[in-house]
Amino acid sequence: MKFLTTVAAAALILGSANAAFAARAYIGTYTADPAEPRSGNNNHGEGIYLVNIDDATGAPSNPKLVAKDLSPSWITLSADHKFLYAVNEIASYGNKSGSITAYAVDSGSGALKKLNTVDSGGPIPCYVSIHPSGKFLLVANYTGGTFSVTRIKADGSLGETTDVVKPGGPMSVYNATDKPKGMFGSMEPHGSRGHMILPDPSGQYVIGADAGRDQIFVWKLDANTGKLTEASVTKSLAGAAPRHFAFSPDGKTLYQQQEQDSRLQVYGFAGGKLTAKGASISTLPAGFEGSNTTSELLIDKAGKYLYGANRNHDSIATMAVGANGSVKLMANTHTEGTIPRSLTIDPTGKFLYSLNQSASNVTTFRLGADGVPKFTGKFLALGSPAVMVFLP
Amino acid sequence: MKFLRTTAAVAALAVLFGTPAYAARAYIGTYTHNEADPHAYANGRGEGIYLANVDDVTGALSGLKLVAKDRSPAWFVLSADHKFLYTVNEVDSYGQDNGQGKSGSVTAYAVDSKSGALKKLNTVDSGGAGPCYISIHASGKFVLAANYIGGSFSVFPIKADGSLGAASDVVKPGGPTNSASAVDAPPGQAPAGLNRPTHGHMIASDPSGQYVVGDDAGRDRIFVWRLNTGTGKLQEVSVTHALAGSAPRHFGFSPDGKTLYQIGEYNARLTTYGFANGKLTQKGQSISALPDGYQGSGSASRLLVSPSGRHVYSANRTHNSIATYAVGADGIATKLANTPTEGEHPRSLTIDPSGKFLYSLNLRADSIATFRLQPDGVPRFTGKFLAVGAPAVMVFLP
Repeated sequence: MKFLTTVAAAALILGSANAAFAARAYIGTYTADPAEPRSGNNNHGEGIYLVNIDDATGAPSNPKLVAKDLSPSWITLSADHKFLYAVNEIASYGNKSGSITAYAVDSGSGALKKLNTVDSGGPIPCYVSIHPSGKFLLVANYTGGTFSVTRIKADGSLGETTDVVKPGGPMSVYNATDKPKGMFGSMEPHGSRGHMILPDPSGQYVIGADAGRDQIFVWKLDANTGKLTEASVTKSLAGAAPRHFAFSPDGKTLYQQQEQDSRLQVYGFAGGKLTAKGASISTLPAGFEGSNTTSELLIDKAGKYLYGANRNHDSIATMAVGANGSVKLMANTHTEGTIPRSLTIDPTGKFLYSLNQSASNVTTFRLGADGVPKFTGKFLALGSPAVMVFLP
Repeated sequence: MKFLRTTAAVAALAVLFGTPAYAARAYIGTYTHNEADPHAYANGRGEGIYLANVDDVTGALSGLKLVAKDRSPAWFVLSADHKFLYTVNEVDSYGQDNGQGKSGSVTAYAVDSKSGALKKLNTVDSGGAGPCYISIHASGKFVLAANYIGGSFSVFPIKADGSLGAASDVVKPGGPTNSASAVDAPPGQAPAGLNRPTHGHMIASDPSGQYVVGDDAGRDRIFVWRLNTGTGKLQEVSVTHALAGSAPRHFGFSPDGKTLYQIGEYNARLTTYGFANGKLTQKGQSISALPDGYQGSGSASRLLVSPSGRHVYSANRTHNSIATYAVGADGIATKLANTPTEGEHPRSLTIDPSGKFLYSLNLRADSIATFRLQPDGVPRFTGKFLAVGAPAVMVFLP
């Protein structure tokens, strides 16, 4: 212990506050909502935490609550890492809406200073990203069924909402024809459910996944007015619930994770349009029967492997990308905790983290040469973790 | 459809001539829709009690058939002669509100040993809300039930026709409510909760048949009673205090009845006790059901002892794993492995009568996963799933 302490002290003297660790990361959690005590029954987090990451083992440690906030269940950092934007995944803001909150990041300590909170444009916002112009925050509202655009001011705080897209159309249900045998899809009718919104790698387009009415939107964003203009709409299989997607590094292929049938669909992406390539594949082991919903989808830096999270089978699906963009399920790895809400790969590409919402822990995996995550044996207890973003 | 009907007819003929295709059949109990409280734990997509065929080579389950539509038959037991099945109905909306809320119920069925069909005999008040465990007393004359929400343990006489009489005894332990969290719970464990009353979680005869043992997961106690088979009343022999906040949930006996293995739900730890003259004496330290270094919430559920007594198994609901323990010469269990259950929230585990297969009833994945028990006792997934809504309990019908 003495030796370790000395090493840490030497690292401090050499001029960096965090030299003993390769990186730090923010972790967003689900919290109780005083306005809706029932919905907070199983939410044990208190806000946004900062953790240290050990560069040798990948293990996160020393979680420190840096922002007490309501269910910051998705967060993103600005390109210069000076600002952090979080959804508040609630339905009790203003007139039964959700909210988004801007924070200033202290790069030395990692401390967060709240700038302001504004309406997210619909209840239960669950995804937030930044447009490449750096001027707009993009938000998907799940229950509200909307996609919103909010101006980012020069001081990093949030300005006016410049657009809220609320897709119309008939009601839908979660009951896809290719769901696993024995999967209980909800028969309760629902409208659109915004689940993800993200610019494409070229920066020309913005993509939105509507898990409620099974459609993928492609828009162009007017960087002056902050309005979204529809470029195309692609229908997924009815009831499949397109949730999270990932682009190949060249931006020519989009991989779409479908929540309610636990399948992945590959699309070619050109001219703002998606074209399905081949049949969808299951993220579950062969012969799986029962209920499962997928959550996160990640692609590695090289674009060789995709990682999907299965909730209820509680596994990480590793999928290999073929030469023609086709994908093949290689392995299912136990998440070592229940209900993985999301997965994260560290900036070095060596480690993968599973944020196990119901188990209230984060588990660390090492990515081997074959791309398959291998559990390191490292758990970090944290109440209802949902999202993890590295702070370089 | 025509083809299927023909197949069914052939299968029915096979039943008449002795079902050679399958080694065994099993009943599966499920959680069903709780109309009174759709947010309650006791809730699921099952519809009642199902019968499944069990392949004797692969252990795989198939041919699922609903044989009794019933409300949350989440634990049940067969009589020794397999002629009757007794199930809890894990509900809190039975009968009249007596000032302490409504109750749960227990239901008796007659078993058609050939077809496996169940014929309902009667339903009686379980003596408290949320009955979650049921067993038959060693005398064969009484059914024993533990009520979770009601915090009570009940005794029901079995009538000559197999139906149940009204409760001959309802033990409702007193004492202050409990707010303790176990000091040896995993780091990051969610607090156990404030003001917990008694939660009856299991009640069963010991192997000698002289005693009845009951787990109180609310006030952390293990009761030992004698049952007066004349009056159907329980008389307390001993009370053992488990670690505060550990929530003793399920136990299993060694085949010789001299050792009791107890799993704590909230601290997810296994404790070995010696059992003699109706008294429990802890042997060694409790051990974690979770992997080394585990952090986060723990929630243990079922505990099983293998037929040989050489291994003990327990289920982890937040880690979704089966913990395997080896039993030493001194009867003390040590941890061997954690095996993923291949599905969320294992409510219970079952070993088939041949001792070759172990089944994990994954409540929230709506499926059952089949494992083969290796020579070292560790279960290995066979790749076989069976979809069934909210499975909670599985009992083999020979």
